[in-house]
Amino acid sequence: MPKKSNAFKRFASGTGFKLLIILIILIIIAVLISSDVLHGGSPFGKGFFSTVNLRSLFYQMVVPLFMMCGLGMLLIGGNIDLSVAAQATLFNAFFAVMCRDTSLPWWVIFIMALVIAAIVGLLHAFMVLRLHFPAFIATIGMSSVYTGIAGWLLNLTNVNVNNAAFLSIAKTTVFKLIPLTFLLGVVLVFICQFILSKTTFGRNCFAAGGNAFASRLAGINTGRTTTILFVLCSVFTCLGGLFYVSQTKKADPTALTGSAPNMTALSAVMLGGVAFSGGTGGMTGPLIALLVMRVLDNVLTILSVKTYWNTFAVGALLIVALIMDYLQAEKRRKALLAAVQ
Amino acid sequence: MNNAKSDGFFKTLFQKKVFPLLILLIFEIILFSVWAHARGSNFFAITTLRNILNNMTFAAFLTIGAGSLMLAGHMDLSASTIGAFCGIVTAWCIVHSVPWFLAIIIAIAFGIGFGALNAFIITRFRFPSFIATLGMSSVIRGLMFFFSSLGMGSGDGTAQNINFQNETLYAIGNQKLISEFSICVVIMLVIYVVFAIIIAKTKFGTKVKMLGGNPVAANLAGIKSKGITFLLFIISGGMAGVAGTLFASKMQQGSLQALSAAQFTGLTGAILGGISFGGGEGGLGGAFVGMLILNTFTIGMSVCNVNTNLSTIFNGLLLIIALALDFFRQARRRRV
Amino acid sequence: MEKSYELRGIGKSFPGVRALDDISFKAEGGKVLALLGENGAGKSTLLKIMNGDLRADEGELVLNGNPITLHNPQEAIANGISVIYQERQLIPHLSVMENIFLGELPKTKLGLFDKANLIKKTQAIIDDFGLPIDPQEKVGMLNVAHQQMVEIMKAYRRNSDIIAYDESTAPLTDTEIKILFDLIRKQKAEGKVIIYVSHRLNEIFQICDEIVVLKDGKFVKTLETETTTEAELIKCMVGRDIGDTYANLKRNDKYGEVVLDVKDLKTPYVHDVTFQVRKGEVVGLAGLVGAGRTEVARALFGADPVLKGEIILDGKKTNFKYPADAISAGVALCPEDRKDQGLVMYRTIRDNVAMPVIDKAVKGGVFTDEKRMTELADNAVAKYDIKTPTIYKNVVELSGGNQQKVILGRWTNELMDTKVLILDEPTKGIDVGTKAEIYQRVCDFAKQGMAVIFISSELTEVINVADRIIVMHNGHITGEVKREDATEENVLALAMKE
Repeated sequence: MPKKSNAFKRFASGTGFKLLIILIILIIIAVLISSDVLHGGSPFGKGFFSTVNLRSLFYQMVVPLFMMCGLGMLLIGGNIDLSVAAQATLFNAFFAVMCRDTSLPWWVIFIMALVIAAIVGLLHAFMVLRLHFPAFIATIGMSSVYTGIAGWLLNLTNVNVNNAAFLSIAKTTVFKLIPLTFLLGVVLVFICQFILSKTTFGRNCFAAGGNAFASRLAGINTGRTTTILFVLCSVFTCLGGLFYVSQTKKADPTALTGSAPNMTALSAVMLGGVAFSGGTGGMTGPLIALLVMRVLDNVLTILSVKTYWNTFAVGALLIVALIMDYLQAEKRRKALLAAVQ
Repeated sequence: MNNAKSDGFFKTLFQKKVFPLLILLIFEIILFSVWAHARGSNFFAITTLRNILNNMTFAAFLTIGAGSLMLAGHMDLSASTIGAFCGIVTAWCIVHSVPWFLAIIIAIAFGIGFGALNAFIITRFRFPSFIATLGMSSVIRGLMFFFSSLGMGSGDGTAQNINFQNETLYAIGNQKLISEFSICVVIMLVIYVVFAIIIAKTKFGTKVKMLGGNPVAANLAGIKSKGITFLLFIISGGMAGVAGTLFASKMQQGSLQALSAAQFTGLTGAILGGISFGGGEGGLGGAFVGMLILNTFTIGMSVCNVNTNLSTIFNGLLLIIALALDFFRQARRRRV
Repeated sequence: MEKSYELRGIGKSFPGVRALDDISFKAEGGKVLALLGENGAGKSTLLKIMNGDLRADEGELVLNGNPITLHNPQEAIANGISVIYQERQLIPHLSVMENIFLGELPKTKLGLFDKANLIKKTQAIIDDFGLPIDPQEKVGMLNVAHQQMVEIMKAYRRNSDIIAYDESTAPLTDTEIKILFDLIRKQKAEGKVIIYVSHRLNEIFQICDEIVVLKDGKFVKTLETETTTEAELIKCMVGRDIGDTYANLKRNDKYGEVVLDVKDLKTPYVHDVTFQVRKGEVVGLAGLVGAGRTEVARALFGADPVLKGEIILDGKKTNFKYPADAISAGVALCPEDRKDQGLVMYRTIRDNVAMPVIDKAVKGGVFTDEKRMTELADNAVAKYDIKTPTIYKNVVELSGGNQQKVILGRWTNELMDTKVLILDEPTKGIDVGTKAEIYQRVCDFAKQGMAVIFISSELTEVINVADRIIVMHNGHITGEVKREDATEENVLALAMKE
């Protein structure tokens, strides 16, 4: 058996590879149409690779990145949380109001928000594990609870945050180009990927999502795995949300539920090869998928196509991904049938 | 011997899923009556009932679709988007001098078309309906934005709400027909009753429930799932279309954000009304009671001048309570 | 110390069924003990008790001389007891090595998942087995035989003292069977306790030292392989008193013309199946689990695709795409799994009886005719003496026997025109009294002119109820026996024929 080529072959046949090719093609298109390269100029400086464009691209991706990490791992473990946008809104509201009304240092409130996020995660795990609620209905319900509490805290208006130290988090950039928060998000993706592929906990997540009974039989505590995943999901969401506050200098009762970064994140996760039924996939696929979605958006913007085509493209991408999954499964099934005959 | 009627009306009622819900509803009414009284306002007024019904009109149409689909074990998350699209279509048609009845027909036809498209990809490619309709809702939303900009004079293709004026449509949306109740509410009640009867009394409805209860057994007993699934998604799309058209008529505007809140209200009502998420159990009657509970809550809260945020919170909690009720009922069943 | 696993007076009941009754035997280290019995003899239940998946109602388990209590399979594993399940418990998206070491993945000093070490350890196991499997390949990409070997490696890796193989050779080819047998011999030499469950007599003679025979949940006897013969074993498995149940059956003796003519039927699961059923005839389909009987039934009913061959019903060639087509042509099927495939558990008796005739019990074209449906259900309840206070009870609240009668009532209600009735394990999990009732019903159906196909894993039942028995093995028909000539011995011999 040719072992050397296996790792590459696996990558080349995976979703990540296909997405990477799409991404590269998209970037080339973006550069060609937006910069002076066709007129003998440099690809940089103007258009797609301009500092302004790239930086705004990166900032847009911060919230979905963090949500994606939690959701991706949760989905691999066989669960889902549809309340992340509402959760982020709640944590943001909590943070902003505490900053306004108390004299606690910002990092204390930051940590308090993270603790509340962990409790929310525990609550979701309790509902799913103990009360056997279907995860996605329960989290839809909790969504409106969180939105309501956030609205009540904020009194349905924006609450500004003007703590200079806190605001400087989002302002910090590396090489005057890459925002620190974006970098942290990307690092988190790789940490998650590392956890999933390199730790026994990560492998147990795949096992629990793939076949819960067999996992329990092998002595894996699937309940604990699920609980940890829900907690991580909420904590990551909280991080993403607070960075968003730092970026926009305010907590907004509707911004996150309105722009639905959770749907962007969920779409990226599924486009990136995490099956809805759990037990398969990774985190690099979703990262590339998110990049594809954002760059596609960028290309459409450069083409002066209206932004709504982006919405359309995301949905269409999701449907196309599902159809490709189906065709692959069908091919395998046919091959199996042929083998039987 | 084999006759449920001998059990007596109350005993039968008591065994129904709807029973605890009716208690909940009565409890709510008492609560708000006392509360409102203490605050010096009146809950027991025809206007309250009118407000409740007005408030639930558009979500109720979505409940018809969501409830019937859930009975069969499916879900349509694109319904509210389809509704908004149809509202835009109505407005667009009126602005382009299409007669009002034709505008309605065209709009609802779009709803049915999207429903059929959903059904096609779900039955053909065997997608989980949850994901497929989630994806479709993005697609439809994109198309809607595009459509709203089409030939609207602004020239630059910006998506926009479309305002229009049409007396007939305004009347349909706002004019009172019986006592305090507008034509729009009456249409909702009539259509709701029709579909409740279809689900409860026709062979189609019976098949839907059998299919949701156990798709494998239903297939082996000669019930073809494909056609039923198709019809259900078409109903869902069509009803969303009706809701969107009526909403646009009432507002005299095709709004890009129309019905966005109604999606989950519709779903919550169905679950609260005892339609099991796994499918097969419950009916649209229960879902209606569920909707009443939800909206009595919202209106009651406003009569008592309670913060709208609190009512959002309670809306969510009601769904959790509904799930908990279902859990305890199932737990009791497991013990049997 | 000498290893052993002993069962003392194990008993277990399920609602309405006595699954195991006073089972006692001792499996000793250094020996291979075979557990043999017909389908439904209680082997699976016994294995589940032995590994903590089920709790026995009576009796005790004794491990190496000490009584133990097992609450779940994990505890069994911790105590050195591994069962290789017939239904493989693998995670398809994980690699071979991760499946083998699931729950005990090796860690590096930093607490990370130690891939290099895992590859090494797994490769060592694979080399022990001598199989061409890549440790990093996903299990879902392997063929079934190799998947089964991975399942076996899981138990091998744990180095358990007690190992039970449940029909492990079923998906294997000769190559792997040889590897497995070498492994078992090695484990035996190491003094481990091996329990080997199989239908394949030749394998039992090859590998086992002792044979424990079970029958109807009871212990029959322990035999030494060296001193016994195949014929004696078969006699042990089937020898039981056949009560008057069968003698008193009023059966139909007038057959009509051929109703169902199956020619060279081929589906993904069965091959070259050819047989005929006449009007008024009860044809039994016998065979061991997995022989393809259910699959033949499903193909006749339009539930599985037909790849080749013809099904001729009443002289007309059929082409059923859905069960609905089969039903309207007059074919009916009582599926083997009442709960999952037969009934909608949380609907009423009435709805379940009327299920296939929803389109016929209508008034005004679209409305369900409640009165007609009630009538149908009332008649079914009266005809089959279904024990229930009302037809508005959900079927989940009925006993197994009554549930089965609801399905019979469904296919024989007045609006159905059933010509061919297929009964797949109609007496599974049903008490003796109701079984006798159902046998008489089967004969009555024949008398009414239906062609009946009767599938059962209980040999006594098939050879006494059916007029003619078709025996299957491994997706093929291996023989046909008339009722007068049928003995459990000759049918079983055909069912085990290689």
